[in-house]
Amino acid sequence: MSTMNLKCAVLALVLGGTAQAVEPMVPYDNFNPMKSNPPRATKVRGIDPARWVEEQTGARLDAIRELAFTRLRLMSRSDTGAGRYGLLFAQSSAVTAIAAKVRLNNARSTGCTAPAGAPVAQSTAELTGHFFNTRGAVGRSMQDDVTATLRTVSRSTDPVGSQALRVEAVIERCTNAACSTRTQLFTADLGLVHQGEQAALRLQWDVANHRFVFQRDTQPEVYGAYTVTDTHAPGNPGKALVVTHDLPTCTSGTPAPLGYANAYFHDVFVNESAAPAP
Amino acid sequence: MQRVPLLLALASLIPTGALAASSVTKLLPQDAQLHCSPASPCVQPTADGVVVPLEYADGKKFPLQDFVNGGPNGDLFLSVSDNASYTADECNVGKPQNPCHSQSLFIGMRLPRPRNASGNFVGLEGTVNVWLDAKRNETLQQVPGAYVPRGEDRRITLSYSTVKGYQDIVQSKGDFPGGTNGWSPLATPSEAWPTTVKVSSPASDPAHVHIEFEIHLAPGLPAGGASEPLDAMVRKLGLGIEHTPTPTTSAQTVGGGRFPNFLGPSAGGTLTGAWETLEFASPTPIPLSFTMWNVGQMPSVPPWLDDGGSGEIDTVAMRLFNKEVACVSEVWMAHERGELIEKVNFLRSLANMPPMQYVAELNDNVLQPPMFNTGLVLLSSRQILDSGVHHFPFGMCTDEDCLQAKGVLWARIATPAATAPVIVDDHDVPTVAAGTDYAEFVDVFCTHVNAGDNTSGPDTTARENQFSDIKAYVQQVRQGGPLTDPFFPYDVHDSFPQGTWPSGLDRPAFLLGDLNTLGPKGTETDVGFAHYADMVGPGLLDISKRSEFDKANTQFSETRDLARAVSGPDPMAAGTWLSSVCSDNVANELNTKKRLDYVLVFPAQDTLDFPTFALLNGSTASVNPQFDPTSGSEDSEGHLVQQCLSDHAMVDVTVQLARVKDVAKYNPMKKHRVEYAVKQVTDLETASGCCADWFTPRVLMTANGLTQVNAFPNIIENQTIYPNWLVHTGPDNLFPFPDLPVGFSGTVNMTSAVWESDQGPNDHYDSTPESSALLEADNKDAHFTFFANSGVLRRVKGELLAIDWLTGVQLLGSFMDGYENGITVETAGQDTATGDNARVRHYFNVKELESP
Repeated sequence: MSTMNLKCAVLALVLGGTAQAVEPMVPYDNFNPMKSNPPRATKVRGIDPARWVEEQTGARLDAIRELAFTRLRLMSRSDTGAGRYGLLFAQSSAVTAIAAKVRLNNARSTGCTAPAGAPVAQSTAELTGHFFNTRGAVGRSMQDDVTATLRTVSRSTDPVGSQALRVEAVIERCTNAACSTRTQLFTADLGLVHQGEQAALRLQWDVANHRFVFQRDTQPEVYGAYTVTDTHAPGNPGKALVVTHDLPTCTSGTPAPLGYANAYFHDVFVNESAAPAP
Repeated sequence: MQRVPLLLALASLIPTGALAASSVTKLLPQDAQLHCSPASPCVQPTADGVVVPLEYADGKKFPLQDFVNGGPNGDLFLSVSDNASYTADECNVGKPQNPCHSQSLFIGMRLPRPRNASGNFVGLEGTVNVWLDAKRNETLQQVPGAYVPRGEDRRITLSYSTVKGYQDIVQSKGDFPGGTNGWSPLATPSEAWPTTVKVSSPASDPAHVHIEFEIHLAPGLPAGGASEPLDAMVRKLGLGIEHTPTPTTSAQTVGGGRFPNFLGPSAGGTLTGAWETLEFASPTPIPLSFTMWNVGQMPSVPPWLDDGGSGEIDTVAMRLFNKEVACVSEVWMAHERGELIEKVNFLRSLANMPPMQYVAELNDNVLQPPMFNTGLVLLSSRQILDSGVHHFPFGMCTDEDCLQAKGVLWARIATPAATAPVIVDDHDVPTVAAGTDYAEFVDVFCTHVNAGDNTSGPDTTARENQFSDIKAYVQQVRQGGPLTDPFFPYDVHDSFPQGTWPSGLDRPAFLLGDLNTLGPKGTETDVGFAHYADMVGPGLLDISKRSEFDKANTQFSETRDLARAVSGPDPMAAGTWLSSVCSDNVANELNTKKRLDYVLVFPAQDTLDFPTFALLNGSTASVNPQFDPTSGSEDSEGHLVQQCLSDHAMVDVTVQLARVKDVAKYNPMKKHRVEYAVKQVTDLETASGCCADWFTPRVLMTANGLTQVNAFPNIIENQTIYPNWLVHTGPDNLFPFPDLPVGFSGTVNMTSAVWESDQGPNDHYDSTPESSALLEADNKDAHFTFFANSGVLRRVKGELLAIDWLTGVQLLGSFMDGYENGITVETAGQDTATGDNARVRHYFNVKELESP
């Protein structure tokens, strides 16, 4: 070990955590054109197309993606299948870390009464992205892409009348080219959050330590370590803020499945090298 | 100024000459059969020479201005009694004149007494002419010959002197062109309209001479008796009054005045069409509607409390966008308040409606975190002329309420009368004035007080303290500031106009709010609602007492709690507090629900004089639960069931105001103070976001060759601010800047610049629609000139050349038409290059000095 490396290792032990291992976070968009952070050369009306690209998959009954005063608002209401709705970072390849304040308000997930044992319905608000591929992506296939997600979740199995949602960290590997099937590499429960309560979420790829770092508010960081190869670029480099639904197919009965998520995002930060142009 | 009648007159396309000459006052006669009873006796003037204003409370008050001599203004009171006769126990009970008189016109005049060289009041002498035009409808319809005095018309001439102690009265009948100046003596005494007149100098009012007339209407004259005003199908009377003081060499000549009140030569009693039309009908209503809704959006403050409903901002906005004035509570997050306003105005734009104005705290910066706010939004589809935000004093709360900062919003809202079109003769071109009348407003307060128990304890104590605080705040706001209450110091986060503003104590004000106090519904009495009785009682809000005006008039509303009983078949269906889990069947259960949400009336200040506005009877109220359209599900019987949007129902109230005191007009023979202020600034630069940092380096006025420039460099941060950046003539300027002298005939120039402090160079915002001028100030800043010789206020071209100050761009109004509290107008920038555009409300007043 060189002297320099030794010094770094000692410093890492002193600081603990990941601060020394990853880039510092910098402001990306606070969704407030009047007091933009980071500052912009000119004020922008609405969502800044230089920083964001629209993303949507699946079908839905109703959706909103708009600048709502000083927040990004994403709303999706669906009664079928799975889908995501939101914004991709315009330069997603450079993004290795995302932080944002997230408020999921009035999320509702209704599953099936039949067939018995049908999968649960869930609706989420997420910071998410594809960070690497374990085997080297072929073309734009997402098979073997590894995704990391920090999300607020409503499930049809939540207690009736409960206003509690759950914050979860998930690392998954895509098992097909469309990434519609996945295997979980890591999950962590970051606790409950009330409907409408704001949570500050941070998701960071700590490639040097082969792990992802998750943090909610001022709680201790949670490390999601993995053992797969992380040196290949992902098939889809997208990083995003989204709301999602994942609903089972019901054979009969009422109520009909429903996935509803209405989320507000602001104070978005990214790793320094992904900072937007002024 | 009677704007609505003028509008109606315009609509009827009366030829210009008649239109210019005739204005209308609606005066509902006191009807013994309808209005008076032993249980609720009426009050009527007694023509005893002492003008007691409230004896005329069923009538109307007008100013008497001397446009020839200047001096203090006088007062004129008019009241009419209808055909039904009075019994002894239903009118003026206990007074000398009992019973009261039917079919009478009562005229009361308070005329200023002159002062001698030593400054002491001396006697007054002069002449009062009263002209009465019967068959008024023929005059208005320009029947040949009816536009001049005819045989059925009367002139009553009073000559009097309080110095020499005489009063002589002569009555004449119309005889044009045969008589002298259109009038001839009566052929027999029986042709007279029986008249009583009395002149006095009451010791109780040493500054005035009082004159009272009682003129018997419908006296049954042989010619056209059926057309006399109170018996006719068209119940109208032409009325002209003129008091001409006799000049003296030993004292001032003051006290002249006329009805109708206008600057210009007297018609001399020969043009009947120039007299006022008294229309015996209910006063012209000024309709307004109010909505109170606690939307039950509880997120985040504190987070462990459940949401009081299933609605999102979208569905809430859908329920509010077409309201007139709405108080919305429990929108705790600043960004949700901003989003609500954006959604409401987006929906209005789809419906081709102008945006709503608002009062709300939108700035959740470090010093004002999201939870530290009232959670209130006050929306108005009418212009907000002034506004404020007040938080209850720190610690005046219990439990979770202390994690918020509840309080009161205030909006001074322009009524429909403020923007009713006024036609100004602009060099013989009828022009609609673009200004808004700053005197036509009501103060609206929006509040949400401490939650918790309704049994006596800490929660009720906190609420009582908050009601006291509301009362103190409301009083200071309505009286026109300044806000300097030493007992409840205003919070650092409060916002309100600096300085003072016109008093609103002369009219009702309205309190909309979730008052968290159980109140009676429908026919229930206050028994069992002790905290409610305390709330409206003298120790707290103090609105339950009948005012002297209430006691004296029979035609206006005394209701204070407008939604206590709802309109419709079940007045008890006034409950507003639903359960947090409720569905659309709750609409049938409102009579079993408790009532927490109110629309209350603060009456006009209780004095022995007229208010300026009163509430007409006939307000309506409804309580309406709101349902989430996305929540529909079928119950066991297959019925669609929708969840409530909120755990509170919406309260909707309609009212009608009426003006009972007319305004004074610009009188060049008086000294005047000119005021110009920037009252409101709204950022138009971005579609969303918060907040701009406003300041101004220049609010300028030039008058009489002197210029005063005020700067207000302290930044005010918000999307919309009400800064009151002011410049004015008068003594309290750093350098001499005198008021306009008597007889001033020059111009007064005014302008202001609106700037935003920015991260880069500061931005000079465009606040005027014109562009392409050489001078940046002409491109971006609005400029105005008051022309004293005509009383007209115009927006003008700019300031590069002297002639630009005289080059009109937009006529805003003429102070000859009234505008007693001033004129306001909004201008908006249209700079497409920078996008730095603001909408700015400018305020102007030419305020008569030495007014009584």
